[in-house]
Amino acid sequence: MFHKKDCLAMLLAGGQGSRLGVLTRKNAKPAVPFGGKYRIIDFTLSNCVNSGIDTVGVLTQYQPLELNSYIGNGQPWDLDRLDGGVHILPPYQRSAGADWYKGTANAIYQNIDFIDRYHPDDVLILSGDHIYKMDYSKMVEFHHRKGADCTIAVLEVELGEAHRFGIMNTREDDSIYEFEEKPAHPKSTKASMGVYVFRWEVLRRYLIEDEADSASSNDFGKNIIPKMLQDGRAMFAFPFSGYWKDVGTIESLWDANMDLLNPSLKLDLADPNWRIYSRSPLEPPHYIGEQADVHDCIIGGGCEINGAVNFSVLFDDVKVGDGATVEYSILMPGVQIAPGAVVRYAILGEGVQVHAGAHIGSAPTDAAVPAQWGVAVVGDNLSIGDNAVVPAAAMIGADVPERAQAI
Amino acid sequence: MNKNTVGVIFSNIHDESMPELTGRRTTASVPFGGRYRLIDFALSNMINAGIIKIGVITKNNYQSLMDHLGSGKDWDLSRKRGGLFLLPPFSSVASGMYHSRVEALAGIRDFLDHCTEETVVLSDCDVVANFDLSALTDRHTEQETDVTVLYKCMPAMVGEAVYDIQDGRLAAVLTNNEAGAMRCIAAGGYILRRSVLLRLIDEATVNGLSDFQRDCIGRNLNRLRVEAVELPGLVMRINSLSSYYANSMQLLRSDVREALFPEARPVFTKRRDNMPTKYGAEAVARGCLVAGGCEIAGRVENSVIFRDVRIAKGAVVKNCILMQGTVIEADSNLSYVIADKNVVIRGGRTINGFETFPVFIGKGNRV
Repeated sequence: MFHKKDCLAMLLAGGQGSRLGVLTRKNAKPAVPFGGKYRIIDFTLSNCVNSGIDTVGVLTQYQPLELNSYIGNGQPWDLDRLDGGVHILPPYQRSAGADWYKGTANAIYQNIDFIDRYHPDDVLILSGDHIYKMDYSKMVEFHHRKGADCTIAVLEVELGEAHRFGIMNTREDDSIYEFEEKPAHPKSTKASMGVYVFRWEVLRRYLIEDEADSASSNDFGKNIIPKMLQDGRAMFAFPFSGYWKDVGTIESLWDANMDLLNPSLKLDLADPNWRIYSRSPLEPPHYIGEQADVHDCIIGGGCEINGAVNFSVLFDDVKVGDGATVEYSILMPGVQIAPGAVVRYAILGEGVQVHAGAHIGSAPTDAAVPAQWGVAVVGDNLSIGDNAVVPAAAMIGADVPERAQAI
Repeated sequence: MNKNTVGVIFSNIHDESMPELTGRRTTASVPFGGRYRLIDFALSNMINAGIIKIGVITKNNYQSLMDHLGSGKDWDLSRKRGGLFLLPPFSSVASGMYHSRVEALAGIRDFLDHCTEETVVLSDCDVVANFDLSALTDRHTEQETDVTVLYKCMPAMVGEAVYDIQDGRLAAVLTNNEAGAMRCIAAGGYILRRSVLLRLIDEATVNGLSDFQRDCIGRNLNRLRVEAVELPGLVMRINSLSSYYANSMQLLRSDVREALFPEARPVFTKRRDNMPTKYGAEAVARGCLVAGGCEIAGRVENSVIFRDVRIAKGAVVKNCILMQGTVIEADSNLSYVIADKNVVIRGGRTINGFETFPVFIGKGNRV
């Protein structure tokens, strides 16, 4: 017996996140570490539970091992429930064949039975790769007040940036009359955040229709939303204000981590009424050595810092040796920086070992060709040898031997 | 797995030794080491030894302990088989308010009776150590010992029970009469065959005896096989405010941290879901142990900083222990201070203690 749920959430977490390169080689994007303690998906899961949504389906497909074991029974997010809770939903085999999730809409289509069990009025569709704090209950309330079939959360962006987003063109009453994906000449600055509320009865019908259309790419943005608009469905844009960031690229992931160091950031991680929950490791407090120089940074549990760490985000269990320098960098759990090594403008994956005297990354001001500068990235568990050099914008997927110059 | 062993922890036994810290809590729930409570070390030793059934005996002041332990989930003790059992007084017909370890054990006789495990480990919360308890319980079982007492040679207090040990056997339980003399003192707990423990409790109860070490063990040395095993490695005993301070400061040494937090035996504690600690633009930190959730904008040296502490710009904190939620406002100056939970030091205040006499500021006070 399944009790009726007014609203349940479906979280799309199956994308490969190929633009994160080596960071998602063996890990789905939502499970990429973020902010010194969290994984990207923590923000969406915490928003759900903080908004009173206790039933969440997580749709996984690409490299799900890390993500599945991270979510586990959902206990860190209070989603271990007798009724509802978190459910991992991978693609599966049916009597009439098996399919991977072909697109975002198809992923939901394949789980119609899961949603039907709870007889929800509304279904919240979320993606697992955004950093933001949002009370979805306010959006659902707006959705009801407007009598909408579909409500899409939108964020005001700069006009100059609008061409990078899906833009909603709305009337006075927030109803949507047009949707443009990455328009060259945007008519409005209301960017879709990839957060949708649908009346389940309506969405269910559109998913079935969409599946029957062999020309469709089974995608919410490309197919479902345009079709609903075309049919004159009641669609509204819910205005959101606050911090929101898509961390789908190396630059945006690095930016979003650096944003956390900004004291005037509109994303309060210390708010006791809206905590971001995570499956946190069991580490003792961190230790800052007597010769360390530590400012403008976030430092996780179990770290031992004996060098200089500035403008950086360090996850748990990172060791920074004497005289080493870490600046404008993100060091994921278990990274070890040997004495005298220099890491600047870099993202180092879990368990990376940087040996003595190695240099990783450089400042944008040092770049010979500014257009070619970028954050240096080193994949999980790699070793950067003594005095090796990893230049800016490098994407390292194999060990770098000592004194070598990586490309 | 040590499924034939049940653990029992005494949460209140040493409450009178540091009244400042135990005024409103049990010894078990005294905060230690930035994010732990003293009971975490005793619990973690048991859990790391594979013991999955643990009873915690409480007497009074145990609200903070219950808040800390919750359902035992954070220690993986929220179980159908075994798990965490809180054992308050008056929990059965036979139990009432106890005044000694023997009475406390008599009060949980029902609990011990219903256990099916052959071995019982008893532990207090006044000792901070991280040791391989499973090696000791294995040895106890293999050698068919009745009682194994764990001890450490440490400076003893006048009047406390000390051990005379010969060839690894406990030969006598004596009373120390020389303050600070190095003696073999009970540390880390007792391992007993459950049937032996039940018999000792019953005999002591019938005869009106109340001292566990002297009466239950000391008087029965000729008819029981009682082994004495010295705890290996680092052992800290917290039995006064000054030893609390001195031992806390020891954590700033890397060898001490390695001994207390080895990778193979993690110390479990309550999760707080706070953000990781953030250092501001003008922050200076040197020689500090800092837990999660803090915001450090001022200067902090040679100190132990618990979770969710705020140190504002211009504030200077040296040689201090600041417990969870302490707020140090701008331009304050603290040295040799122990601030209990949620203390607020208003802007511009100066408070100086001395190494052997740190200033203690009680829970929730505002200065």
